[in-house]
Amino acid sequence: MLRRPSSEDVRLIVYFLGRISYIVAAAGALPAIWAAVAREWSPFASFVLMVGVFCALGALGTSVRHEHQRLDWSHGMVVVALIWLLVPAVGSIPLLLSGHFGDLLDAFFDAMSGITTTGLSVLQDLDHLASSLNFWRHLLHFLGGQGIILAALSLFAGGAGMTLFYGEARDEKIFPSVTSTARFIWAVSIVHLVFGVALLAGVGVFTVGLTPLRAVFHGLMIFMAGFDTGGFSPQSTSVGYYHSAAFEAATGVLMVAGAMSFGLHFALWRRQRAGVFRNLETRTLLATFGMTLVLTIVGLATLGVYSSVFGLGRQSLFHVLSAHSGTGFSTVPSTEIAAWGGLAFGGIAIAMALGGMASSTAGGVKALRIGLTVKVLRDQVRQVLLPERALVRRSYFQSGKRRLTPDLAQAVMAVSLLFVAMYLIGAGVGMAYGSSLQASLFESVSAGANVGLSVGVTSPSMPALLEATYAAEMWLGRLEFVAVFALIGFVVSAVRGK
Amino acid sequence: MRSAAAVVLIGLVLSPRPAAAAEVTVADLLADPGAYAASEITLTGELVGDFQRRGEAVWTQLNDDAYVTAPLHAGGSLSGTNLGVAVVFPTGMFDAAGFGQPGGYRVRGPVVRVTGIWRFHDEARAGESFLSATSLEIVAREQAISEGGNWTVLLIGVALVAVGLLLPLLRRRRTPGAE
Repeated sequence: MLRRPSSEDVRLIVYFLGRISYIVAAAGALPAIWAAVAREWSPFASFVLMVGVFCALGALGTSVRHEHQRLDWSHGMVVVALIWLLVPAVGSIPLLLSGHFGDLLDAFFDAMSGITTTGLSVLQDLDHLASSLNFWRHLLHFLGGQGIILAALSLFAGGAGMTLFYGEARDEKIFPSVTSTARFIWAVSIVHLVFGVALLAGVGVFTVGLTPLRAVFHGLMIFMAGFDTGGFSPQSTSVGYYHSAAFEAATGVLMVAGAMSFGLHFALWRRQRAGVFRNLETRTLLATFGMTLVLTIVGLATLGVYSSVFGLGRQSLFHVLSAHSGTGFSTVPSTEIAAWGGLAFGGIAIAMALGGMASSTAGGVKALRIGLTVKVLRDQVRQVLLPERALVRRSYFQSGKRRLTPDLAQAVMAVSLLFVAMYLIGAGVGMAYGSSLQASLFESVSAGANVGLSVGVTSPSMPALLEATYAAEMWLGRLEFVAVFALIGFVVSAVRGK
Repeated sequence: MRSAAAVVLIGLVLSPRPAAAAEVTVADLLADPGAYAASEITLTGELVGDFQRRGEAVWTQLNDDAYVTAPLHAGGSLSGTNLGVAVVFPTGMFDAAGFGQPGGYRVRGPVVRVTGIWRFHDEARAGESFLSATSLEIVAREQAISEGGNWTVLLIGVALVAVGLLLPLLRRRRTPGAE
């Protein structure tokens, strides 16, 4: 029997939504300051309105009285699912008022794409967009990639910490306390921000030929989109705009850093490198990366797209890295990717679907789940081949030896299957609107795995239902289903429970 | 913006056309870039983003879309995403043109008619595609775009910020001992 949520449950959820709204309001003040400094007054006004709406929601939420009850598992999940809808909804205000979007859904789509670090965009005339609005789009990547909730946890945790932390699809607690873990993740990000922007700006000045100020601007934008595996870019031709192998290499370093789990960052910071390559997750990621890279290279070579080995290697490596890390940068137009049939297309699509490491900013099924799924299947085969009474030890190495329990195997399989189902449903909607199976599947995987590469299905003129489907895929994929299902369960309980 | 459009039109009518170069739109070029590989083509459009100075060459992006004649902030209407390709000018040719700023938020960039060789997946540049310019004609100089403030939105925003920040303070004063 379903238990109808009490008014206390609702008040508690609203209260936490209010608190987090205040934190997002503070983040929203950054593009407002940028707009004021750049004297972009129209965007400035829209940012003030956005901050005002977040503040007002914060005031309303925190004004709700509640008994000082701990946030339990279901409350936390519902808060996470709702905040990941609320932030893009309110965050789309400056985008909508910019005049670069056809309607509210378009603006919401881009904000959702930004916060979920997807990178698909329906923005029109990007090359004339105000710098402050560009900053806001990329800041959405940074907030979403590092975790809005994580930002909140850095400031307040109390009893709320654990459930909010896991709700945001993070399952690796680096320190005993969630607050310390959140602060560590932000510290890693800030250090990467400083070095990443310096690296990109340096390459921008000395290799690309940008002016110092513009190099810092481009460096900051590409850092936020690269390290957070987002994929937005300040110009309409993505990373192809820079026409520089050195810039692509620097971007590649950031994409790799973004696709790494924060646990791995911690191990590397502590110089605990020995166990890193024993980890099932690292091995799986290297194996799938190698496999998809070979597929893409062979595919492009077969098509004869690139005549030089260096050209073939450079373009294949960059696009597989971009797809596997879930970033979505490209150096060629979407029309060219659409023309990559056969193995190359398959290589990129598989890389997108698999994704990076768990507890990273990357999306997709994730390397650990792939590794565990393969291990479960291998153990099953071994069990069948061995004598009936033989016991197969089910364990794996991930920062130490761990038992592969039936519950864990079941959970891994369930989430992996949900990802596959989501990719197929999205592809079905695309096909219903007349896109080919190949293009529909590619675009659906790109949205659901929070990648952002496109073969042209995503456009300002796309049907509203398809746009809403992709936005829902981004939301589900980023939160890895659990928090969204908890929200649905909460709503159903409120309607049908007793 | 009408005057800018007229300049573009006059420029197009009066400009001398190289005999061998095919007049191509960026949309056509992107639809089948391989078809124009190593051919001499002519593109007309706005230079946007940055002028990337790299010794003997200047790299930039040429957009050929509806926003060339009317960017959104200059009264243009929504017409889809930008359509652009890279163009490389010899530095001497570029400097002789005396461009100010490329297109962006505050500027409609210079509109040019460029003839050159379309380098598709160029071997020497490890697979990059770009137009290597051999001649350049200015159709229209860059033009500043004015921006209007949105005071109503600003006032509503300020009011909401004030409510959002003051309400908790007032509440705290009314209920001593509250959190």
